[in-house]
Amino acid sequence: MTHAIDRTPELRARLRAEVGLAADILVPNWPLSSFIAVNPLGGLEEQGFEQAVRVAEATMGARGHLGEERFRALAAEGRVTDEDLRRALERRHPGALAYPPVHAGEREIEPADVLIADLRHAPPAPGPAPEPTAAERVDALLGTSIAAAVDDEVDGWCAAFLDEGQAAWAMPDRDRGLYGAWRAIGAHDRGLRRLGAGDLRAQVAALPEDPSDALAEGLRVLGVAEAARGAELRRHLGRRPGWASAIRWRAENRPDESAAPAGLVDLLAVRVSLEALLVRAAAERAGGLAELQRAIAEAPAALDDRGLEARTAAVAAALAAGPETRPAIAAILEEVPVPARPAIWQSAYEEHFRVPLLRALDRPAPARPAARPLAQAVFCIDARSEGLRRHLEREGDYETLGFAGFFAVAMRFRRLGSGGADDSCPVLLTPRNDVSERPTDAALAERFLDAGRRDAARRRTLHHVREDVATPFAMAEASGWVLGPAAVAKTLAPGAYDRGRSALSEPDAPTTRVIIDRLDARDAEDLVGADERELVRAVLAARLGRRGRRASAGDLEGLRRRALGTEEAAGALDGVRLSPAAEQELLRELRDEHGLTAEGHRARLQEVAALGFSREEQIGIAKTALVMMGLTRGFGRLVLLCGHGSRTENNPYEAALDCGACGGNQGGPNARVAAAILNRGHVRDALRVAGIEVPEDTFFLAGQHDTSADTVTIFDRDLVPPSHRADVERLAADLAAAGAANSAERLRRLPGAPDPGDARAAHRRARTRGRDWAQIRPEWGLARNGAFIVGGRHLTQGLDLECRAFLHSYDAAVDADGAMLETILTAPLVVAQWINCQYYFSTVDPEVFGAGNKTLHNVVSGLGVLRGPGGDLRLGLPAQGALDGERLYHEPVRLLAIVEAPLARIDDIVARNPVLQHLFGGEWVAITAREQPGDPWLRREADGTWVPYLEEQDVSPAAPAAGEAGGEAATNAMAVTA
Amino acid sequence: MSASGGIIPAVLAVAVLAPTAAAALASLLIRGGGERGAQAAVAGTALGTLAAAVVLVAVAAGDPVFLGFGDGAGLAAGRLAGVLLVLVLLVGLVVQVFATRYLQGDPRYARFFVLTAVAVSATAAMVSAGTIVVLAVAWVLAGAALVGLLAHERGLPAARRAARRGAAIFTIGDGALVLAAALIVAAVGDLSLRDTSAAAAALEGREVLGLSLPALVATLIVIAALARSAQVPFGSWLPGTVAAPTPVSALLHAGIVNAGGILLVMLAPILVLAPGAILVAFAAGAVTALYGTILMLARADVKGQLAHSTMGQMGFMVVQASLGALSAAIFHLVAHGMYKATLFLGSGSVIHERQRLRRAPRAAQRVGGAGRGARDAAVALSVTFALLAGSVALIAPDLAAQPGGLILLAFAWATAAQAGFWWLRLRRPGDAARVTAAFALLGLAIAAYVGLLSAFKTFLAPDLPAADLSGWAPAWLAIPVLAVAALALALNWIAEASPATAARLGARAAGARRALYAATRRAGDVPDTVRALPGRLRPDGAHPTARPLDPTPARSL
Repeated sequence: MTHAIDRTPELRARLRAEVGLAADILVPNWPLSSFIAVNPLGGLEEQGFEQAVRVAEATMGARGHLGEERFRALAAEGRVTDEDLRRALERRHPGALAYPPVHAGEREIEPADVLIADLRHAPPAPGPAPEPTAAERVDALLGTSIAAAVDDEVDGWCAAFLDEGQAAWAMPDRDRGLYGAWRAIGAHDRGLRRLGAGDLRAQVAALPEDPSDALAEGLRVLGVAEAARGAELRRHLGRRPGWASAIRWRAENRPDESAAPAGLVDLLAVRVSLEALLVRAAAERAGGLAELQRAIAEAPAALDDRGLEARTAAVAAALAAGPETRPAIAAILEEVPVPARPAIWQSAYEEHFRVPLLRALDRPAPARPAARPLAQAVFCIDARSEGLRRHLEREGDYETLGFAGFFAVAMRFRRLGSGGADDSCPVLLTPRNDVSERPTDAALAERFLDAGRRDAARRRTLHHVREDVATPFAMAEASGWVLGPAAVAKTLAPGAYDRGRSALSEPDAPTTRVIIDRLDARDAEDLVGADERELVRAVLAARLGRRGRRASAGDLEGLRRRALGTEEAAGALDGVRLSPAAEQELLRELRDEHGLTAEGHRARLQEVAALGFSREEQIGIAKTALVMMGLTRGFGRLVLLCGHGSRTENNPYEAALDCGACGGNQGGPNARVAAAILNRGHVRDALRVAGIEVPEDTFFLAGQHDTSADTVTIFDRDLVPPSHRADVERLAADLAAAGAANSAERLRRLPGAPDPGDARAAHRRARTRGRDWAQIRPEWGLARNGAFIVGGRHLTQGLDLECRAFLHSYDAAVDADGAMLETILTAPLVVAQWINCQYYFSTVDPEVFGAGNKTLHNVVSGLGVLRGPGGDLRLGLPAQGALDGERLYHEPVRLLAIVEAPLARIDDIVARNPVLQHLFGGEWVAITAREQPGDPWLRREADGTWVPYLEEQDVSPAAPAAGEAGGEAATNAMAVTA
Repeated sequence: MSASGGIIPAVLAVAVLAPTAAAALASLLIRGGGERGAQAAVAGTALGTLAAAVVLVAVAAGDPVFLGFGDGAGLAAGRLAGVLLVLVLLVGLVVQVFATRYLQGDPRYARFFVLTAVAVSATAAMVSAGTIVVLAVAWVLAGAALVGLLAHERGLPAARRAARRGAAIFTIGDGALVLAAALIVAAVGDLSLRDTSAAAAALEGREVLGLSLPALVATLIVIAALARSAQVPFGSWLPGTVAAPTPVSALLHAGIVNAGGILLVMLAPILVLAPGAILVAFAAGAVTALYGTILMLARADVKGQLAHSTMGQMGFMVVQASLGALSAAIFHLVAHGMYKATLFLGSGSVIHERQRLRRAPRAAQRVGGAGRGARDAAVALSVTFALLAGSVALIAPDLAAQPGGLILLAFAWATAAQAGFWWLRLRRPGDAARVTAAFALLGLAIAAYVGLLSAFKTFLAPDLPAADLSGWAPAWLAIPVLAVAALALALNWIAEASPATAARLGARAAGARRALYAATRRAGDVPDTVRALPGRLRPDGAHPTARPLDPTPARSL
């Protein structure tokens, strides 16, 4: 274009910016294979919880609270008491409580009672009512179904476009982007007729080529004024938050994706263009577009019918007060508008959980035992660790700690021989180091790897046989006889089937070492060279068959160098004879098809250079981990670093049960790397210099807790020095006993799992549950989480916290500058808050923020699930992860952070970190703290002041003594909340 | 009442009635249903399964059994019914036991067990029906129970729609069968199915309103079978059924949708009186086999893939039946039932499987270009042909001679060749010993397949009409189906061996490819809204206020 003033780029940029702003109602949605808990309203974090919820109601029609009917039912069960409501009103509406009492004849009714009667008896607050989009207004005017039909259309194209290889027949033209591909196909799509607007092919073909131009044009046709564009775009995204969030993930996490580049502008361009075509068609039949646009603009909004009168009447009736009291009641009610009521309920509901918890934590520190513990065991902060820790401590004199389960090791981990690597660290971090495994016995490993390759080839082959036109028929006839009996066995006897299968088919993985050291240049060259020679060998074998396999090592090296261009002369080969032409052809294939060029070689060297950690990095990891968890003295002979993962069957959400701190992966590899680093001599030396004396006889050990089976696998046992073998045996036995006890406790909370009464039987049953393909709820995951406790174990030891709290160890005394606390509050706390919000929103609105009923789930596009045959991609957690049938199992309470650290230090950290100001100030997370045991728990208000959390009457006069007695008291207190 | 065969008739009654009896008693006696009710229902189905196994053993060793009134009104079981009873009850048992854990907490838990029990009993009664009237009643009952199960998730509009659509199409199909039964009863009284050849003879030559009775009845039976087995043009009810919980799908795909094939086989002697009806069945089956399978390829959702796959598989079954390969059709529906029930119940493992493949040890890069691809194709085709031909010659020489036998073997060959080709492509090339071992294993699988197919034929032979009945659809009609299948296989292999060639071919026909893709993907969709614009718009201004919006109408919380 050569116009003097071309405003197109500017207009496009502006529209793109508007789309970016509109997208703040969404957060990226990770594929299920690496499920990452997110706060679905994280994009609105800065606006605070209540405002974010209002935006979600208006744009997605989502519910941000449990809803008044539900709260009232909970009040009827005693889960929310008048006392809780009073406390919440005092916090949220002190002004209303300052009104004079209402005189009803002889009686004086306190304002609090008026408001409580309003909360309990007034007409319930209405559900969310989103603003209509332009198409919805047309639908309302003309009786069309344009908005719903467009949702349907675009759902299908999103599933096809985002597909990561689940469909055998991929959507064509995906390299053009979603809009480009849709437009290209739409120009040939006769099926668009089904919409009832005739043949739209020519009109689709005539749409602008650029998606932003198409979006602008579509909005113009729909009559959306410039000022209203942002709201219209938000509502469009809000109608399909699932696909939009998946597209947002793809756009942000795979920006280089060229096979199917996705962006929200594309999605909106498709939606709005299609709507515009349909609205235009409707307008042609209904008096012209201009007329229709005018009518749309005039369509009145729904009436607000939340009358004060009805509330007043309901309250007066509930309080048995005469009509003369109504003006006074109305005055009080006016202070608390209806939309503010859910927040009061929510606060009251949370108080009921928080107050007994803080009361239980309000006790003097138990004396620290002087003797050296049997071992330290460090578990992930994950709330599920609390149970195992408690039971392990009962087995013997173990000191347990909590730390983010990646153990400060941010890495891309590649299993032995694996074709793919996983980012094994919190998603807040981008790993810069790669770690892979090296077998101790190469021949054994090669056999194992070849079995793995054979297995993969078999699965892929069967996949191709199933997915073809000619071959699925005989395939079904042949394989039904194998699959059928297996299905009978694993349904009728899942435990026995699992034992049989693992005995038969799972080859033992070979012993490996994690490679934690950097390679020097020579080793790197060797490693890459070996891979390249292997490639040359394979190509030779493919080209020449038997003859090609006679090539000597020298031949392979010579050919490799020639391909790379480092050796020019065509020297003779000893094993194989190649004509010059054949050699040229071979080199061409190596270069063009397999990337055996100087450039490719450099790239491979670079890849290898990311392997392992430098010595300084290792020291940094060791120091950070130990100081942050406050483990700087009193080391036992063993320190177990225990990651976690969950093995479940037939469960699309299995990654949601794995370690969130490891990016939705199992945490074992991180524990192995951390232990290997901490056992290094040079690391120990550096720690000593830094003042952390790790005794000679302390050995770091890595393990992994399978949270569905409650077993702990201990890694690298062959590295345990002979002097420590007995200690490890004892630890393993105690872990097994603790696991069994934990299973028995968990089974009592799982529906359909009667407690067998005997811990070993419970242990077996829990394991079977995780391996049962029919089990819809193998474990409860992090359901019921509600608190994040930062401090020494003395805070919580002996208390049964029912796996409801994240426990992060911290010792303020060894963190003089507060750097570690700052990390804890800005990383693990943030991740815990995501998890908490994910559970919260999946529970309060399982249909918009949650994935809904799991029995209807239909895995789609290799990345998520649908509910039944189609519709939006589902977000969040399935209902079975938070609910037990219709009953709430997860209690949707927002996270309470409980920190034992100097208040000034916390204030400093908050002042430095806007994210914490948003979280604490916006009521996403509440924070309470005390300097030291014995001090009262103080709550940090939005303005930064600290006020006592527990009132005088809350603090029991005789705080329970430490140990089991306190544990029982807490159990009782928390049982009330259950 | 009369019974033959000692205690076995009573056992047959247990097999048919135990599931429903137990579920009904449980729902009457146990308040609120719940888990104990489910356990009672499962116990009933388990008892029924045991009884079915006893019946199968008894009829395999001795004569068919019968329980009912003299002319046949009651239950009868020969070898065919014995096999089908075991299939239906076993599938029912697996689905119910699976659901005791899988549906835990579901608000309609008890209802599920009652309806699955009814569906299982009704299907069991259908396969062991003594007369045409018993058959029609059981058939209608099974369909009704299924429709109830499809509406399980009442809060989900897609589920209600699926139930409605199922009910509508079953009304056509069931209406056809009921009408057929009524015509027969009007003409000759209730027709005993204990000897269908005799039954056919009774109908032969009769007329109703000047039309041939056998032709009329056969056409109606074919319509019933096509509707129940989701064949073109009645297939549209099947894809939407995935709005029901997974165990419902498993039961449906393993035990109910295949009733069409069972009907065709049971009533085959009547059908061959009307070759026109058989041709209709053949055409519908052949078209559906391709249609369902091709639609499956474009689905990105696992349950959509499975549902369309079933449609195609049922098409294959109908083709087998209408070519006269009756035992092969039964073989297919039994094996497919086990196959598809397993895949549905395990459909939650798709993500895990993908992760597993992603993390599998890296295989060597595929090397060698198009030339090697051609060689692999040649090896796969020739070796599997030899293996298949050898197996047939050694194990079941008569297989090729049976009606439709060559067609079956052609598909078996394509399947084996596909497996061989991909194995050659995916395994590291060059190791002759390993390739030989793999092909030896493939050979064993082929031999087992041929052996099983032939054993099935021998076992069912006493129960099936003689193979040389004339009137079946001629086998050469299947050649176009084979041609399309071969073309698809060839394109698949070219795309693998020479992506450049495939890209060139694709680019040459970009428009056609887009149109074909759009039509295929769209045909498999189950949209919520059919039309954006109705035929007539509401007059402007008639409803000036915006109607309340309800974006999430169904809430289960």
